[in-house]
Amino acid sequence: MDVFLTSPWLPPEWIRAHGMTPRGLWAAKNFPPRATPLAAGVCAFAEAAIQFADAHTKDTVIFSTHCDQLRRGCDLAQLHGQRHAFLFNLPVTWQTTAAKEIFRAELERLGQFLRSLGGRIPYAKHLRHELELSAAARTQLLAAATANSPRDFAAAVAQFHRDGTASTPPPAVAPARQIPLALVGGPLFAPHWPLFDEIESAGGRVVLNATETGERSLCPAFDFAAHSSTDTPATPFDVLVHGYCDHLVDVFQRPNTRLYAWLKPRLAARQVRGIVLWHFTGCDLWRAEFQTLRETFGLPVLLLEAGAEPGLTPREQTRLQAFVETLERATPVLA
Amino acid sequence: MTTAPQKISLAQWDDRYEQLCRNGMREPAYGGPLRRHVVRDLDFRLEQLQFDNSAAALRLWNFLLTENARLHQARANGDQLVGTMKDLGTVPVMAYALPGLRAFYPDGAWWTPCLMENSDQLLQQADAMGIDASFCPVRAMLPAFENGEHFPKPDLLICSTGAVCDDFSAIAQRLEHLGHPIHWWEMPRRRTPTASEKACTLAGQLVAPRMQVDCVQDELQLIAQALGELAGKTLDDAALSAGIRAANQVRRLLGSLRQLVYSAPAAPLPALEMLVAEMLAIHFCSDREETIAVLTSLLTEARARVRLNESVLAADAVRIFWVNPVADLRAMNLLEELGGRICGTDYMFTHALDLISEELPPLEALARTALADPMVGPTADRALRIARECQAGGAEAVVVSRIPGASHCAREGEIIREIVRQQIGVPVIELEIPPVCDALLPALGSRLQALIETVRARRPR
Amino acid sequence: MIYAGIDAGSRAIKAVLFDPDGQRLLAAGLTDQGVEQERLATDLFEKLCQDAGLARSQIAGVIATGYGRNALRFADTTITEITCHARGVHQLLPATRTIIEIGGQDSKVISLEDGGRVRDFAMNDRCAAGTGRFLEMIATRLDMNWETLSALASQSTHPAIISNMCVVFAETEIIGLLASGQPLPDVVAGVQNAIATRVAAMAGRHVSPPVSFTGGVALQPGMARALEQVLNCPVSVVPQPQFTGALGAAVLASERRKGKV
Repeated sequence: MDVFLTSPWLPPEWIRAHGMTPRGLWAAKNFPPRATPLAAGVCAFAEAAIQFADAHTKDTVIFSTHCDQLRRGCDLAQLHGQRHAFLFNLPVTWQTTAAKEIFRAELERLGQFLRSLGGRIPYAKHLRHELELSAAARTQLLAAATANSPRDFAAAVAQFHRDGTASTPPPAVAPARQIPLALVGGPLFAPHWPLFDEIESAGGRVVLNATETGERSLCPAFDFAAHSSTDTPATPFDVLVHGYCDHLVDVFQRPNTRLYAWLKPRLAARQVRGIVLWHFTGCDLWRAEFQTLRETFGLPVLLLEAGAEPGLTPREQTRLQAFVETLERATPVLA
Repeated sequence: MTTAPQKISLAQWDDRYEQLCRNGMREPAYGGPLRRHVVRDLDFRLEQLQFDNSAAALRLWNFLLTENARLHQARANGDQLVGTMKDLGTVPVMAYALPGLRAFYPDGAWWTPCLMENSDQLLQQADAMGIDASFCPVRAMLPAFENGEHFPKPDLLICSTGAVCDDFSAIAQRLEHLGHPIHWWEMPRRRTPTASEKACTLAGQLVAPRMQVDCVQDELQLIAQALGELAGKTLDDAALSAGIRAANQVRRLLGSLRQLVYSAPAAPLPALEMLVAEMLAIHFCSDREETIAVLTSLLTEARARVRLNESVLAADAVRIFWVNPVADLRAMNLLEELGGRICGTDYMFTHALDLISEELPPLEALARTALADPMVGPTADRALRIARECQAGGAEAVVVSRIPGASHCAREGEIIREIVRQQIGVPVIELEIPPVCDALLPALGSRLQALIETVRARRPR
Repeated sequence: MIYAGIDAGSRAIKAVLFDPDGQRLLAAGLTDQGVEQERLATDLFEKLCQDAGLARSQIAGVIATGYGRNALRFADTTITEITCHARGVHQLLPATRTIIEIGGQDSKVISLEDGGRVRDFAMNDRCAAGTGRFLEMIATRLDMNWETLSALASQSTHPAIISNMCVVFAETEIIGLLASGQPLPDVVAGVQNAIATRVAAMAGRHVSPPVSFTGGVALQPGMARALEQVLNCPVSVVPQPQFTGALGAAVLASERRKGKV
């Protein structure tokens, strides 16, 4: 059975350990479904997730609580009769043990749910195996983050979220004299990848894909040498919990200082000159960071919103071009 | 001037005030003519509103409009100020359990624009701070923190996060980035217990798994420690229990007031004063004792009017259940001008109206209260409660007021509409009410009037 | 007895005279809206009476509806356009369960119960993109009249996608499409689709057929088809859709007189 995940912070390793096939929803075939009109304030990604759940009643869709719209999206999917929709409580705080306990308990609850749908018991050895495979794939992809073209890298990460494999295309030589940019924000998936081309046409290049479905989504890291508090080796389940809780980086965290701490060295190392903040219309969590990103890193920030239809409007193309032109003319300021 | 109950303008309140004074009205220290809030505080919006003409209503308004002054005085007297955010009604119960602490809601400043008719341009200033109109009016608190011209800067900021509200969370995070440290605490998303989990009952006919109650209790324990450190005293169970009893006194009074006013055949008090009264449940408007006095006074007035069969509205006013608070208080006047009346409400904090258990250990009782927050669980739970209360209150229609920019409003109206319709079959409409709705009054009026016409047409002849 | 309904809309004032005994429309007329709307409405009403050979005193009741209803002091009372459109459509197509009304400045979706009573309604309160104003803007920009615009849309083979929510920005988008060589019929059809999709979003998931389409925009051929495609069900255009509100007002005036309202 396919289990579709609405967030990269819902561990696919755990799903595989139950003998099921996890797929990042944003990387799935037939996603997004046909674009439909959005009511005011509705996020296109959340709406697409609901429609997908409505249309795939035999599959399982795991919604995440990290945003209003996905929380209520699950409510709606269940109201529409989707019996295989599960809402995973992803904690937003991270500085107390409570957050880890919530995450651990939710994984256990998810496991029960998966087993009720025919999943197998996740034996430790199976889980460890999945963690090792995942860790290897993540490492391989991260190593290629700056070597591949932005579009190829995005495609490779999407493939990882679709089937767990990491195939990295050959390195691409970055054209000279392109302004290095960071793309920061929410989920960015295949229909929106022409954005990379638009950026390059304008004279920029995404050297840091810090979207929810880009490099940031590879953050979870599994420390098999860790020990539990009682000095016994940590179980694979412990490794999974710590691997996500200690390394997850996203805007919804409170405080979201981890996001800024993650961005800072990468912006500096890749000599990023400007940030493109990308989010779906209706996403307050990302939109609110516009000014803070500017103030924190001292870099120009361009805000791009996505609606139901992919692609930039001519107005947005002009803004992007103007943004890059401004950077071309400006004295470089590095984060 | 008649002393029969009626709604009057601010200008009429000038004469009414003199009349009440001549008749021997005694006021608390914060009393005085309503006009002074316009003159002194530039609350121009008051000139657009219609008020109840009772001394009890005067006391209520003066109490509300002097909160900032009260906070400043409390600071001057040496009290520590706690800004509690997002959880509506739980942490203040804890704060008020310790002498020397005052809790208030900085996000209550979101009302300030509608009371001040943008005269101090808090919303425009919020735009400049990076939080524009795509966020809810709570963003007004950002410049209020920065300019210090409203409430004093709190000594401790506590904010719930998690299964709360995105744009509030985003605004609070922006506040922290601006240099105001926040004590964040996790609110899990309430769910139904699985078959293997121990269930805990909450108010409002809700249940939650034991582990979620324990989780919230642990978070509240950390808050109790933080409050204790601030106050220089331990917030122990005895103090918490006393705080709960005092909070319940407020909740009982408010419960009696709501029951009386909303169920009366003809409304003895207007919707606007009732909205303000309900808001007192959240943090007691920075003075718990005075809240009790204000609510007692309102209840006395309402009882007298019911006894004398006096009302501020027509007896055949259409009974409306109202969901979500309005950004512009003018909307509550408008509803009544067009022939509606409120017979029930869900202003997003029904858990702050329910009694807190005095049988359970206090922190657990507070945890159960917090988890009963209608915004924390499935919207279906909220809708079912609305449907039950509609049925009990004889509601003939439901209005779901959308708060501009509030992320939860994007989808909850759809769910509430569907479930309420399935359960009780009354018309449900959604209305967006901006912080200043003057330009939209014709359009809003048309919608409300259409709803009232629809209901009247459905009434049996 | 004869009854009158006046619909003072944002773009035009419409009036009808209705004979409830014969269940027929005696007269209908419209005039452009203007600043002196009471005078314009009065003139229109009196002209209709004259054309029908009736004295003003023979009109037993007048109800005003629409955006400018409260300015018409000669009306006996006012009723909102939601109730009036519902009654008017029910008069003409009694099986209707969902009404879509797209006027000059707003759009509405009205759900009806058995017997034609309004059960629920939703209105566009965001912007002009789901209203006739959008089409007017296009017509003005293209220097065309309403009829020519309609005819063009029917020639479209591949409607353009207009993605903007705001009619002001959408205008820019449309200019861009035309400049890039997009065929005019496709652009116009795209505008119709954009209106239809905005209205469909308002209607939500549950649209109970039969669906009737009314309001001035219903006169545009192609709009009903655009609505059918997004709603995925047949949509019937109400006869003389621009007069539905006024008709409903007149019918309600007669029912009011008989104590039914």
